Parts: sequence; C-alpha cells; structure tokens
Amino acid sequence: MLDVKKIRSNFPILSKKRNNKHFIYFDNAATTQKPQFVINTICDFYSNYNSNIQRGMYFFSNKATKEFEKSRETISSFLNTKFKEEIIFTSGVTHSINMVAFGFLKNYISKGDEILIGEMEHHANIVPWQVVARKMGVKFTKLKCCENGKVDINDLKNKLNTNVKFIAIQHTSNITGHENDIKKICSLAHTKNVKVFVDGAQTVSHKVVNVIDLDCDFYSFSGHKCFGPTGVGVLFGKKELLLEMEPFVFGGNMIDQVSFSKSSWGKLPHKLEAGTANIAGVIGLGAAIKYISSLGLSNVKKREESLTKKMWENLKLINNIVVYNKKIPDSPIFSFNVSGIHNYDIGSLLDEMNICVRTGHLCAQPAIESLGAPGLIRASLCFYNTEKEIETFTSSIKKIIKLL
Amino acid sequence: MCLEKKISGVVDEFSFFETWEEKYEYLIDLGRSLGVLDMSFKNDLNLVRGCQANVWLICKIENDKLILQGDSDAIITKGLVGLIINIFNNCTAEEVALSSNSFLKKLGLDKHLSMTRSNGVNEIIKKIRAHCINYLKNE
Repeated sequence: MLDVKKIRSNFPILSKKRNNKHFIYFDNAATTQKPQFVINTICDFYSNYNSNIQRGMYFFSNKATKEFEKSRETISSFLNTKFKEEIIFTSGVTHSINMVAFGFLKNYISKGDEILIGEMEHHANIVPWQVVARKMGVKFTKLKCCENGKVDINDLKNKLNTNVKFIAIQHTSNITGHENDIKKICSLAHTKNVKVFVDGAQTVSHKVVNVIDLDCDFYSFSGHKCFGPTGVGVLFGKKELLLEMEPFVFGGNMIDQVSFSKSSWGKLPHKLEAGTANIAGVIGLGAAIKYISSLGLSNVKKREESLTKKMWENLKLINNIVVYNKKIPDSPIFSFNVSGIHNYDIGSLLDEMNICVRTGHLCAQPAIESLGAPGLIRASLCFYNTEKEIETFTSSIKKIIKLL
Repeated sequence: MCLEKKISGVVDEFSFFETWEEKYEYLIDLGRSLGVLDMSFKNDLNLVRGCQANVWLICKIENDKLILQGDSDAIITKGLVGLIINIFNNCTAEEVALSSNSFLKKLGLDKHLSMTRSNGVNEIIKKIRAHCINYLKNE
C-alpha cells in the first residue's frame, strides 16, 4: 500500500499555499507534478556534468551519454520493448505523431487507401493524420465510440476493409478516462495487415504498459504527463518499421556520411533523433520512470482505483450535475457540467478556491461535440491526491452552484 | 474626462470588497442585470474571439458617443462585459481610443481575472477601442 503522506512530501509543489490555503491539483491529465527526485536529477545534470552527448571524448560527455542511454534502457524495460533502439526520444506525443505521420505513413499509403481514427481523439491524434491523408488523397474515416467512450469494436470490424492501411487510436481517453481494448484492436488490425499507432499520453502514469503484449506497431507518451519534465517524450516503434521509416527531421547526429553530393543516415535510434537532444529532459524522464517504478504501478493502480470510486460516488451526489463518464472510468479522469452553469464560471470560482481543473474543449473538439457539450470541466486525479481533497472538491462545487 | 470619472467610481466601489467572493457576487449581479441580447445579434460579426465563453459585443457611435451592448453565455464573463460597458458607455470615441487598460489593475481584477486568454477581457476592450479608432479615422 502507498504511504500517501510520504508520497506527497516527495512533490514540493503540493505543499505550496495561496491565501494560506493549500492547492488541490486536479489537472493531472494536462500535466503531472514533479517529484524532488526528478528535479534533483535535472539539476544534477546541469550542475555536475552538463555537456553534449555521443561525440565528446571527455569525462562530462561520457557521463552525460551514459545517463542519456541509461534512460533509454529504463524506458525500454518500462514499456517492455524487444530492443532498446525501439525507443526514440521526441519532444512529446505530438512530435511522435508527426514523426510517424510524415516519416512512415506518408510513404506507406497511396491514393485510394484509408486510415481510421477514433472519434474521441485529442487534436494531436487527429490533425497530423488528417494533413497526410489530404496530401496523399487517402480516405480519413472516423471510428465510432460506444457510450462509454471506448472504440466500438463492431464498427471497427465493419470498417476494416482491404483499403484500410493504418489506425490511430488513444489508449485512454483524456476526457472520460476510459481505456480502449488495444490488444483486441491490434489483433483485428493485424489480420488485415493494418498498422496501429497508440497514443499512450493518458495511460503510462496509471498502469503497466507492455508493448509486446499489446502488439501495437507504434506507441507514444509524453514525459510531463508521467512526472517527468516538459519537452520530452517517447516514440516506440517495432524495429522493422523504424528501420523502414524515413527521418522527419534532418541534420546533425542522425547521419552516417555527409557530402555535398549525397548524405546517408545513421543507425537506429540516432537516425530518428536529429540535432542535440533534450539531454536534461531525457535524463529527467528516466528519473521519473524510476520514481513511478519504485512506487510500483500495481500499487498506483490500486490507490487510483480507490480514489476513482470515491470521486465517482461523490460527483453523482451533486444536484444538476451531468457527468460525461457513462461508467466508472478506468483512470481517474472525470468530465462534467452543471446544468445551466457555464464551465468557465465554475473553473474561475474553483481557481479562487485554489482548486486546479481544466475547462473548455480539452483539445478534443470533435469528441466534445460527440458528447453534445459546449465545453466541460475536467477533474483528473492521480495517486498523490487524497480522499479529503475529493470531499473539498465536491463541497466547493456545491458552494459554487449556490453562489451562481 | 467621462472615462476617468467612471473608472474612479468603479474603483471606489471595488475598494469596499474585502474578499474575492464579494467581487464575484458583484460581477454575477452585474451579469444578471445586463439585458439579454437578441439571438439575431449573436452572430459571428459580433462575437469576440479569444474568450473561452462566448461573448457578443455591439459597438455603435451616436452623436460622437459610444453606445455598447453585450452578452455572454457565462455569467461571470457577462458581469465583466457589463463592467466594461458601464465604464465605456457614453464616453467619446476619442477618449476611448486614447485609454489604457490600467484600470483593470486598479480594480484588482488583474489578480483574479486577468488570465486574459480565457476570459477575453483584453479582447473585449481591444474590440471597443478598434471601433473607436476606425470611427475617428473615417470621420
């Protein structure tokens, strides 16, 4: 069992106050807070061995290269990849998607083909594919979701015709916290030789992800949504696909030979990591993964299940609330509105009460539209949140309803 | 001078509020007292871009005086629209064109409501000012 009090003391921001009152941070789906261990690791890099990696023949550079590559190993074992060079460092999921869209998909599809995208996706998992589809004259088809926000497997079966070459899907919804059956989706897709990209932004901080077991072709997550720094993320791709993939960004670090008549690309993973990497970010991300691994993701899951249950029960007791999670979510992400009150008004007043939530369209306008909401309020929790915070949150919402 | 007088009036009124609740209650009441704009005016032309809630604003100049009407689907935003209307209404185009946003700071609203990307206060004021500048150019 997790010692929540002790865990909270690992996160310096959680002890901050405004007007002599602590904050309640319920915007973990937007970004998670950072443990001191991650902050110290980044600080240690800049203070004690800051240097560029992979080419310097001196102590600092060797140490930085070693720590950088150790992060790759940590993340490779965290996602259970077959090879460590299947881990490509990017700036986050958006970068990863663009890399796959323009480096892989653009060369993999041709006119008349079709790609399938989930209805509930974040804009990052729609727009890049849409741009490539338009450029290549490829059909761009929406996969319907069931009432619980998960992709409708029957709709997928119906739409998996011979023209379909690619599916992009989120693992967990950033709106309803529901988890798609990725294993099933990949297995259906692979019977038709369709490749699958999985957006894992909302998953890796909540549960164990095993890419071999899921059998997805690509998987990506952002460091800042799993206790790491901003500006760093990971793209996993099956080795044979990464080998086939064209670099999306060209320049230093990614080359083998360069001349004015011709250049050739280096080996994996460097071929796909042009320029100086976000070294501090990557090393910090490695620390974040070590941190959650030290807590144990099964303990995290257990703790979050109990928070989810409490939040679910408490929310339902609020008068006139419209909760968009049709069932108890798989991850502690809750979206709702209060009838007759604008989400912006609730968000503004929650801010005055030092409660941090997200309001608006949550970077998923088509999904919000499919829910029939003009915008919504999202409260997203994680293991360091407490039962008491949930109680304060629900009583604050009740107070706001009275005020408005 | 109309503008300065009105601003100092609102600043005085705000200075009595001791808590954020009182400021918000004032804005909510202001929002409630502001009329509802007819649906036919809630169009793209009158929509103020950059607000998380929808804000519609109609600017007119009659006898060289600014006449404003506005609405929003969020009550706090509507209160802000009302506050801005109360301040700028009936002032001359010239006065408004030369005005600054410093009154927001004087009202202490910068601490609470100046996350302008979401509440759009700056966008509302920008639209009013642009209307006045255009009017003066074409005069």
